[in-house]
Amino acid sequence: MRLVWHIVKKDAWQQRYLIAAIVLTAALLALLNIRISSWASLPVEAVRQYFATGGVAFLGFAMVSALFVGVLVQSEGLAGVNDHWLARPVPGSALLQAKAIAVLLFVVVPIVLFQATVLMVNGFAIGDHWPGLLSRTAVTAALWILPTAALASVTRNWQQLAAGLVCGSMLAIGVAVFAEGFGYEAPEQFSAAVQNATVAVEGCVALALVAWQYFTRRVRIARVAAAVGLVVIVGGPRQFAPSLFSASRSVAPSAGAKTPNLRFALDQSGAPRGGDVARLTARSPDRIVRDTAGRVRHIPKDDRSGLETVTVPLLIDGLGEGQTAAVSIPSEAEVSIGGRKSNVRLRFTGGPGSSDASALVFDLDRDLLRIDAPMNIRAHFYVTQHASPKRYAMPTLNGSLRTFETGHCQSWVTERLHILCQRPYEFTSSIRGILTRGGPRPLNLQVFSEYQAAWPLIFDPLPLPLAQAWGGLSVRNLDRGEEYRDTSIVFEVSDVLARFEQDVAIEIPARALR
Amino acid sequence: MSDAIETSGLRMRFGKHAAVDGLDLKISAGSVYALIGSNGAGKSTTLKVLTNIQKGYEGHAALLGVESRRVGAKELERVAYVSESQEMPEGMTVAELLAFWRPFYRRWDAAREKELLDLFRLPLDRKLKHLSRGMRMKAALASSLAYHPELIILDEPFTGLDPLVRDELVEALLDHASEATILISSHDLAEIESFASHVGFLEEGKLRFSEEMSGLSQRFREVEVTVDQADLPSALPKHWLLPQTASAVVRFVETQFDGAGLEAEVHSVFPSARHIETRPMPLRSIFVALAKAGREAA
Repeated sequence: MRLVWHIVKKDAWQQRYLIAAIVLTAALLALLNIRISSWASLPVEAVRQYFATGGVAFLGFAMVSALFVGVLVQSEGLAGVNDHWLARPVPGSALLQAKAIAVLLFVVVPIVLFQATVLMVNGFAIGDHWPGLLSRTAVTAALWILPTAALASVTRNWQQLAAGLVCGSMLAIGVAVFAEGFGYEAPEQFSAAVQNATVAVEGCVALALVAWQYFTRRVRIARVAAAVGLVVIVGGPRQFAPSLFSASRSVAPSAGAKTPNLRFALDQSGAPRGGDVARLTARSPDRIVRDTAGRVRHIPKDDRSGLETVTVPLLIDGLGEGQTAAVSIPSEAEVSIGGRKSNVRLRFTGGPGSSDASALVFDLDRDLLRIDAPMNIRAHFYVTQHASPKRYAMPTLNGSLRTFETGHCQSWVTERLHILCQRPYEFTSSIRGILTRGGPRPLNLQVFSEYQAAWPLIFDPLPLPLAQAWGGLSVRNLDRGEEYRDTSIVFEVSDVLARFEQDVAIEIPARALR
Repeated sequence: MSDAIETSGLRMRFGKHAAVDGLDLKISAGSVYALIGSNGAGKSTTLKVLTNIQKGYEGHAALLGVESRRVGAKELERVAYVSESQEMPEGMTVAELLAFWRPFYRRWDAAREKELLDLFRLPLDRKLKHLSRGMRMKAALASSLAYHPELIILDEPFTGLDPLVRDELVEALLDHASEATILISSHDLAEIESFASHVGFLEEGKLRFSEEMSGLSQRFREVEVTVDQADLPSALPKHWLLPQTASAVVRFVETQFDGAGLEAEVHSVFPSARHIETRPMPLRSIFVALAKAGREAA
């Protein structure tokens, strides 16, 4: 261990300027994020400047931290046969430990301190939010630090490292564009699964590569593994995670699980299904129950005349008192007619919680209808079951509310009435705002948390500690918004009890198309 | 005497090219062994394989009695390896370099370190990237000799250095010759000749010969034969290299010189031989003759 610390001290001294740059950019970002809560009182131009400075600081942090990790690994290079240390009595394990400690001290600790500072200054106790803090730090390590270290371990200098980082990012963007172009759409329910899978795979692959290099220095094998790993990480989880996730859920043990009491029917004439559909507990809201049995053999009578749309009523039954069900769908469904496959647009009618009038609507292409053959449509939809919501109220004008679920909510008037809730990392429950003026009126709250928004690979190198939900209302009285006096905003937060995925197969006989 | 280095059937391939091709080598402890050969002969690769810097060899290679692929920190603590192609930590000063390596060696000798610093007149506070090539080599050597290594491996240490620096390096090495085995690969044959006890000639990854320096000097001779008619017969002894004729003189390099034996053999090949003159060859000339002969044979 004495030698390990000796190497750490050497690296700290040799990289002191980069370490100082990391600390400075992290401190600058902390300052900027601390000011977010007071941005409301600033003019628009000042806020723009804050954003611009924040962007530069973010980029700066990303670059100096990557450079530090790269230089740190390459100061005792692993990819060549000419490095000075190779014929010295330095065990690979000691070197690996020393580099890990240096990364922890000089990159990870600033990241943790940055988050802790922002949370504390904004009035959030670290003790309540340490799981988020640790998990986000781990995600940053898995998605930014470890891959950079892995790339540095198979390259000889920072130029090669930079080229590798640029190529990797371009590949990620290329796959993203390719996936978009081919209509791949990660369903909302799977986005967390896709991200978790990506993070886990990427972190493990990168860690394995780094360890392999420190213990074997077989650079050719490592480079091939790095290239394959990159392709798998970039392309794999996005393409395969949903099906893998569903497959793993279908074989997951259900012993002792409490069955959510929810049933679906795809035809109002049919009996709602239940029983084996739902296996999972309300304590595992991230789990998805998949059922492939939904089948409509005859299109409803009302649609035979038109046939430019096929409407399948969706009946959701079994919601508990106060519970709601939200339906989400991909934008397209697959249609097969006369051996020809195509996509049709899929819509959902009905609002959250109102299952009575809900329906799946398929928009058919006229060209398809001219083919004299039976039509088969395959689609799927997702249902999220929410618990009975908790409600918290605050005055509409200059209100302030602080709860664990809503975080810190504030409202203020400038040229509009602004409503902003900030909560560490993410809103674990769904949040809605309702204005009580002239009867309950839903507010359109935009929720942004890094976890929901970030692309799996192009992940911020510094976790944003505060997730935000914001909205706005027009005001007549620009100074004070008098019309909102004596009104309040009710925030409804409801936990997710379960998520369901349901496949739908629709068979339409040829005669119905004529 | 035990072997500090031993290889048998050592083979190192890069793709289809065999940089080292079936090398059998033994270097006794306490010897100063010069490994000579043209560029690309496989000298550097051999040294890197022995120290486990270069991975993936076939056959057997052992360093201080340990199979090379298992050579680790324990063995490397007894070995000094300095190469002209070594990438040094450019951002470190000489003092930082020495301070960094000091704790890794239990036998690090502060007095010896000071001696070396005095001998090499190294500027302690200057960064390695600001040092001349010769100074960098001295810094590398100072940080490699201060712990009394049992085995010193030097890969082209004199390349690009002026004679004064070479002398200083040789002086430092000679100081250690009594306590260590030295394996040196170099093109600077004149320098090597002054202190090497053994020499091995590597060509296309194969060891053409390996013997004591004194034996080599005795074995090789430049031979000049005066004859009536300088025609070369079609078949000459295989141990005569680079035969040439000029008017009434035949010249060649005898690789198995033994005095009277040569005279008899010359007369049997050239019955009209009138005068035979033999001259000892310096190592450089031997190397050139061997390299040329190898190229002609190829």
